[in-house]
Order: sequence, then C-alpha cells, then structure tokens
Amino acid sequence: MLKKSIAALLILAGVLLVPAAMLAQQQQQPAQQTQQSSTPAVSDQDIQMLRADIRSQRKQIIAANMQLTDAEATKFWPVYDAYMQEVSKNADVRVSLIKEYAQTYDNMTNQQALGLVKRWGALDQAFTNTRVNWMPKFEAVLPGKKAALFYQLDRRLSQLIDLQMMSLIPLIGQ
Amino acid sequence: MLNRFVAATLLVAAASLLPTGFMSAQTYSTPLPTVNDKDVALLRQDLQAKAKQLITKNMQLTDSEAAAFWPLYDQYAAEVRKVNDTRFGLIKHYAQVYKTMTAVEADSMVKLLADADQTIISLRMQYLPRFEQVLPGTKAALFMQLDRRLDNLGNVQLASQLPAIKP
Repeated sequence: MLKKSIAALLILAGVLLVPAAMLAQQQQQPAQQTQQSSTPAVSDQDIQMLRADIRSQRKQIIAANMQLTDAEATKFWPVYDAYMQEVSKNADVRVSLIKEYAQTYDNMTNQQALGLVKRWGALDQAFTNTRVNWMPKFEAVLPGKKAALFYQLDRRLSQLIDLQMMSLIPLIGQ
Repeated sequence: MLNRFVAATLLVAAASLLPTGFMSAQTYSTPLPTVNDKDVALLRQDLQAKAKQLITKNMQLTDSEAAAFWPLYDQYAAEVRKVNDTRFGLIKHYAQVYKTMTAVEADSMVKLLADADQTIISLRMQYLPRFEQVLPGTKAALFMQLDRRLDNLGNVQLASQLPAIKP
C-alpha cells in the first residue's frame, strides 16, 4: 500500500506540465514503484551534500536569470547568501520532520499525524514570512524590477523543490 | 530505511533543478497566455472538480465521515477560491502590463502574490481544527497534506505558463 501511494505521488509530480492529464490517474502505477526502493542508503553527510548541491544549482539558476551588472552583483550576493542562511534553517527543520514522519509512518497515531501537519504548516508560514520580510533588503540593493524578478524566481524554485520533495513522500495512512 | 527515505526525497529535488529543465522553460520570451476569461473559468472549474475527485479517491471516507466532511470542504474551498480569484486576477494584470511593466507595478504584483500565499497557508491552519472535529486525526491530516500538494501543484503549473519579469 505504501508503494502504491508513492507511485501515485510520482505520477502527481509527473503530470505537472500536462494540464489535461492533471490529477486524473494517480494510482496503480507499479512501473514507478522502484524509484524509492532502488535508492541506496545514505548517511546524514550524504544528505548535507545533496542539500549543498541543490543550493548551488539554485544559485546558478538565479545568476543566469537575473542578468546582474557587476555593481548589482557585488551588493546582491551577500544579501542573497544571508537570506539563504535563513532559508536553510527552515529546511533543517523540514528534513527533521521528514525523518520523524518516516520513523512514525507505519504506526502513526491521530495525534502524531495532526502534530506533523501543524508543524509543517507553521514551517510554511515561517518560510513565506521570511521571504516577505527579506523583500525590502533586496529592494535596497537592486532596481525594483530585478528585486521583483528575484522574488518571482525564488518563489517558483521553492515551490518546485517542495513539490518534488513531496512527490516521494507517501501520503498519511496509504 | 530512514535515510533512504530522506535521500530519495533530496535526490529528486536535486535532479529537478538542472538549469536546462525548469527555468529554461520560463525565459522572457515565453509567450504570454492568450486565453479569455471564459477559458480561465472553465479551466478553474475543471481543476476544482478534479481536485475533489482526487480527494475523494484518497480519503476513503465512510458514509458518516463524508456527510460531515463535504459541507465543510465546500465552505473551505469557497474561501480558497476567493484567494485564487486574486491570483488569477494578478495573472491577468501581469499579462496586460507585461511589456511595459514599471518597477512599481512589478513590486506591487509580487507583494500581492505573497499576500495570497500567506492567506492560503493561514486559511489551511484555521480550518484544520474544524476538519479535526469531523474526521479522525489521520484523515484530517491527510486532507491537509493533499490540499497543500494540490495548491502547490497548481502554483507550479501556473508559473510554468508565464514568462519571468523582464528586468
């Protein structure tokens, strides 16, 4: 049953760019089920390396799309790095929640399930607030449209990363 | 097992961020959507119906749970729809001003979008205790999980149809 729901979520992610098929067929896809089971066991160190890789690629995408002048870049990247430190703290808690979810998944009680989604919701609120709180700092170092573009890119990347993460986490009780 | 679970999650996240993928599909030359209001209304209606089907399939409610859950869901969905009205309105405005967008307009639009994101999250948290009253805890939590994923999916899909702000 667990594998079935993983497959369903993989399909959910897979139909992202196919509006007509969106959400139509999300169950019973055995071909997709090997993705998690074939993943090798890794250490916390490996997880840290993967997260560093995501951060690096995120930065590359931002750099490629922002088209900053040298003067803008000099001011922008220190603010970006400080912002990402805040974002990383939020991500640390998300990783620990995912671990807790995995540990309790097979025998999750009503209270545990509710506690986890409430904490996840609080993390969502904190992350969205962080982004809003940092907007003036980016506006202080970039022209208005570039600051808005950064916000747009950051939001899109965050949502995409989140969606991909969720696509491998089985739904509660399935 | 635990680390494998987390690693699989992160591996996929890393793979998704290859520069040749997501963002290359959203360059400044991405054409603006040309659908009219009627098309958008139909699309939204279709997505709402499909979301409801998906929730039905995954929640596996008993008859008594369903009788208590769906009226509350409809009430919640009506609140969410108001926020989505704002989001779609913003997209329409974005398309209208895209070529001549000023810094003030760009700033205003991203702030309104941020407000909409915050409102959705707040709504979800406000409604959770009410869903807890009509469903067992794991099912109420499952609904929130599904709802969050569907909202995120819709956002990513919408974003994929729009060009990025041209600096």
